[in-house]
Amino acid sequence: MKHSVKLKFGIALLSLLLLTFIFGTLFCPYHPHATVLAEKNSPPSLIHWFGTDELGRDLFARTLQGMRISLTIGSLAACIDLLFGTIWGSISGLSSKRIDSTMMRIAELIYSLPYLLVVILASVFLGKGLVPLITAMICIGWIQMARIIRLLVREALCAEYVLAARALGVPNLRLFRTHILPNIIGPMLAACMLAIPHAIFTEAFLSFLGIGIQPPNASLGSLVGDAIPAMRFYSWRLIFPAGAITALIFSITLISDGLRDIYDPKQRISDGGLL
Amino acid sequence: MSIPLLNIQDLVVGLKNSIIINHASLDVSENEIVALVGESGSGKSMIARAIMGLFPSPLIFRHSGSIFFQKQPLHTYTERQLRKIRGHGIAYIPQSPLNALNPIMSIGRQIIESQLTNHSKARERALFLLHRVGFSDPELTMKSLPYQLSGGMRQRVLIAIALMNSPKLLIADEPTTALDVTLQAEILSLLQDLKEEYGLGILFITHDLGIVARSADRVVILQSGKTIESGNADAIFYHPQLPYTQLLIKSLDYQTAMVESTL
Repeated sequence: MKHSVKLKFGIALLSLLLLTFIFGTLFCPYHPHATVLAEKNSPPSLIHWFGTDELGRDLFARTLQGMRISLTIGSLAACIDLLFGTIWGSISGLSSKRIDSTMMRIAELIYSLPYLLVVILASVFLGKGLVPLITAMICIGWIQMARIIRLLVREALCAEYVLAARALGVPNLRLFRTHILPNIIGPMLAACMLAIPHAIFTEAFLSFLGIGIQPPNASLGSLVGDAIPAMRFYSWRLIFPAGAITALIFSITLISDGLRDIYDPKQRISDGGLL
Repeated sequence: MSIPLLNIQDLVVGLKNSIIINHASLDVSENEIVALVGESGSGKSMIARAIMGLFPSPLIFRHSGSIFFQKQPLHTYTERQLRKIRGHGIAYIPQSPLNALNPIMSIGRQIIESQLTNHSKARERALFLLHRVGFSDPELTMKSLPYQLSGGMRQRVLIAIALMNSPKLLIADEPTTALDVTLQAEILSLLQDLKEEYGLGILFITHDLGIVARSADRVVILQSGKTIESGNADAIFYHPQLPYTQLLIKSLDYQTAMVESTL
């Protein structure tokens, strides 16, 4: 595998974040919901690394909780997207033209629904919280994945080794399992990695608006949202969670970009070589 | 004359309202190399695809005509029945050896793939065939991935794969186009040896008359989807009947003349 600076840097940054997250969770003495009103809005110090919020809750503990929720949502949503997308996309890609275009038109129909509207409707029907949020995100998110995978399958079907295998009398299902799927798994993973930061960002955005994670639970987005009214006086309450979102999304985007550089030779040529 | 291995009669293939193969007929007998010659776009590969029922697009289909393989009417067969013929009765050597192997599967797995039954027997046969097509260390070849082999070696692997199920008919779709001249000669003589060894019928698709002159028993000339002339290689070369064939051969003379004058 070729070396990509982007990929290495992304992996390094993400590992750093994950290490902070793991050790922080292990050693942080504060509960994210425990309020100490006497210490409210205290600036970052050795006792409270990230300071405290307006109820005296330790911001470090709350940021860690937010990261946990963000990572959970990001990876879960991306995995389920990938699962549905793979099933739909490969059936569509392998089918005859009529079935293929029907399936894709259905997908496009769903894709045309406004995202926020779907999420708000889902939160009305399913209630607020983690599960409805993920459900709402998957409702539309899988379509992007299905389109990518359909394209990959179509492309792989044109490959000469697939024709050669068919000429040998290899049955369709085995053709897909042994020749097509293993050859598209790289770009598939790159697409999946790209879906993670998108899901994290969406969750932060929705929580910022107040329709995502509900108090007293904290997500990075809701922490930022809570900090906005007081940002001129207690700027640390904004800076730390916002920095965590940025670092998280940045590192994962770098990884997925690096993966795409490796798996997409056309992109590589137009970039004028690997970074 | 005995009944030919493969018999194509008045084959018409095309899109709904445009014809690609227009009344093509040809025979291939056992122990015979038939060269199908035509310029690019004349429908050579399409005939190969039609024999196996693997059209490049669902929009292309057979309009009329018959294809018999060992008296089996392939043109009436369903996909399921055809799959039993593919690889077993008729094997196919693809056009470009560089793309025709799955890049992430070991040679061994790809060779054995067409045999579902006895694994160790299949392995034995694979080793034997790899040795037969000229690999000195078949065990090592089985473990390697396609990118570790050169073009000529990959073409040999493809020939070995095609021979796995002891087919009666081999369709070689321009198997030497992607190779350099010395390799072309080697692959050709390999195919000729195999023909004599197993009594194979080989349908050799090419645009290179030089290759045809050296190896084919009979020649079929294809022009825009129509088989216009066929006969013994010698007859075609020394007494071409049609102006098109004469032109083809003249172009070959011209090429040789060019080469000789530069040497």
